[in-house]
Amino acid sequence: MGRSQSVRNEMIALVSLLALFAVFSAMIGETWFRNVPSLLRDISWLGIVAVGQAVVIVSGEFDLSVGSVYAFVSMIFVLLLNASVGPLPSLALAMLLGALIGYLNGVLTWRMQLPSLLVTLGFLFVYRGLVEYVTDGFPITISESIQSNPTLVALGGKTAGFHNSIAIAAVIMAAFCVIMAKTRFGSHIYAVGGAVDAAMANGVPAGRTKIRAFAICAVLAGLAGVITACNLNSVSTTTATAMEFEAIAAVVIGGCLLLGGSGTAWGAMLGVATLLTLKHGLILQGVNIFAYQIVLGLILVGLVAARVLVPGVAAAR
Amino acid sequence: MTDRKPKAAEAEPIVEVRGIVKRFGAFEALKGVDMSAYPGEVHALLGDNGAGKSTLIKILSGVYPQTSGTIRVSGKPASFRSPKAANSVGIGTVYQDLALAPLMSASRNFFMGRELVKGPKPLGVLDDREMDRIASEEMRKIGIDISDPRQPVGTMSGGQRQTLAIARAIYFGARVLILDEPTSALGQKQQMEVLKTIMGARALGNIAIIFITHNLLHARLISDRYTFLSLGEVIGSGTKHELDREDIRRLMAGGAETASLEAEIAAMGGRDDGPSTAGRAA
Repeated sequence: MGRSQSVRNEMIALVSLLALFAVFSAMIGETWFRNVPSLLRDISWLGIVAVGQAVVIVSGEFDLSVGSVYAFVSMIFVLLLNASVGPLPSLALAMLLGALIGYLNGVLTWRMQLPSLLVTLGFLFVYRGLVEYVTDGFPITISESIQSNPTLVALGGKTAGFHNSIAIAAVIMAAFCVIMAKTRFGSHIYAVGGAVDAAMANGVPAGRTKIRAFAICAVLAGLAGVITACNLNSVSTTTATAMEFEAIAAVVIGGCLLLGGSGTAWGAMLGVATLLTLKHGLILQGVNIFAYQIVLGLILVGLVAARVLVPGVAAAR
Repeated sequence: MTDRKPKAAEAEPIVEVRGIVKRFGAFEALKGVDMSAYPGEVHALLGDNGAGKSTLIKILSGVYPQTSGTIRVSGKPASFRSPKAANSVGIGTVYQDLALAPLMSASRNFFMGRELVKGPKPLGVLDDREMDRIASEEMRKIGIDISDPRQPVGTMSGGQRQTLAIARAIYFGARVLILDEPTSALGQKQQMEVLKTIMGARALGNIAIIFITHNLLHARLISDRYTFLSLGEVIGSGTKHELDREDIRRLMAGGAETASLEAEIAAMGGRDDGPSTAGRAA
């Protein structure tokens, strides 16, 4: 159980990823390899969100609002840009907004002891509704005069044929691997997620830890949204719809325990890579895009069932 | 463990409780209890459900204050406003749930909430090697060698977990160790492991152990001193030399009223001296 268990789940995800990649390479060939940069771009966008989701899930909670926060924060970012607030201040304000959104999720969950699943489900509707209300359903475009601003290009552009967001996601993943494994805060996340009463009895600041986890998650979701907006030069009302479920599915595929206390940022990224490799492969194969959802759903249920059925998994508790 | 005599017959008690009364509204849970715990000794606190053991323990560990009476720790009067305050004067309580996270490693559990960090403060990283070393060493001191301090607590035996919780309390400054029914809910072998651990802590010589139990056999195996509670009062106390087997058995049963119950059971077809009946089956 515990660490070794999540390492084994990560290995399963890694092997599946490599196998899927090999299969699609063989079946699709040239087109598959030309698609790799855009596959990596999609992995980086969802990956940044999934790392944040992993932090929250390891802390024993859920954040269903990430897709809406992604859209809402990026919309505010674009509105600020178009109101002639400079790119860096806009970015800073957008991140601050993300932090406040996460803080609110955390405070409502901890102080009032509400289930995070319901709190964040509520805010899923609130922020999506706000985006739709403000935009009236139309996409908002970044003013052309700002589009070539170096800050926006750094976030949304490409270097040597690869999207900059890939490097950003890699740095974020590496940072959270270290934070989770080697810092006091990281250790507290595992403690409050695995056994909150024990953590509190030993003086771990449980509320502060969980609230920070929510703030990290919302900031990362907002950052991914901002990066997407910089890449597409616009935000639409349907941006990141149902992303919360993809993020949670990826985190589970990557080895996190849904009840908290176990999982890694690296696993979350692996889960995202596995899931999106499957998605892109099916699309390039000409399979109906809706088939992806069916396959994803079946894989998820199968995976969870397999973990319950494999002997020894439940033995420790 | 050759020295089974109380180490310091005339030593000062680490904790001394005098005339403790606790009322909850009209109900008097403790009616003036005296008790002293000495370093290097195991002091068994015995009594039936509702005798007041838990109330006394909660007062000692700072969960709630007494209505009247005094607590002295190392000769100085003490009053605790919180578990943290009790902790800071050296009273460590190990509750039945042990406050461990099963998915985390032994050493991370040992240092939970008090992690060791190396490097400059905001960027400091956890010093896992040092935490592993200390956790292993502290557990070894009281008699259990765990092969891998990074193994998840969920994979450890009940006895090993208890050892971890006790070693942790001692390392973080407990000089009075309150063990709340540490052997209940464990299998036979693990119960013995726990008793061995308690004897390991006793052998350190400077720790006073207050051992709460329902199990007379366990109490007799390791205790140097006894206090028997019944309905909020001390109905008997003394060292193991002062009390003989029969005294202990009678006091454990809560005095007169259970003795008459036992007689009734005997009259209903059981036998006077319970234990031997088991052998007659088949």
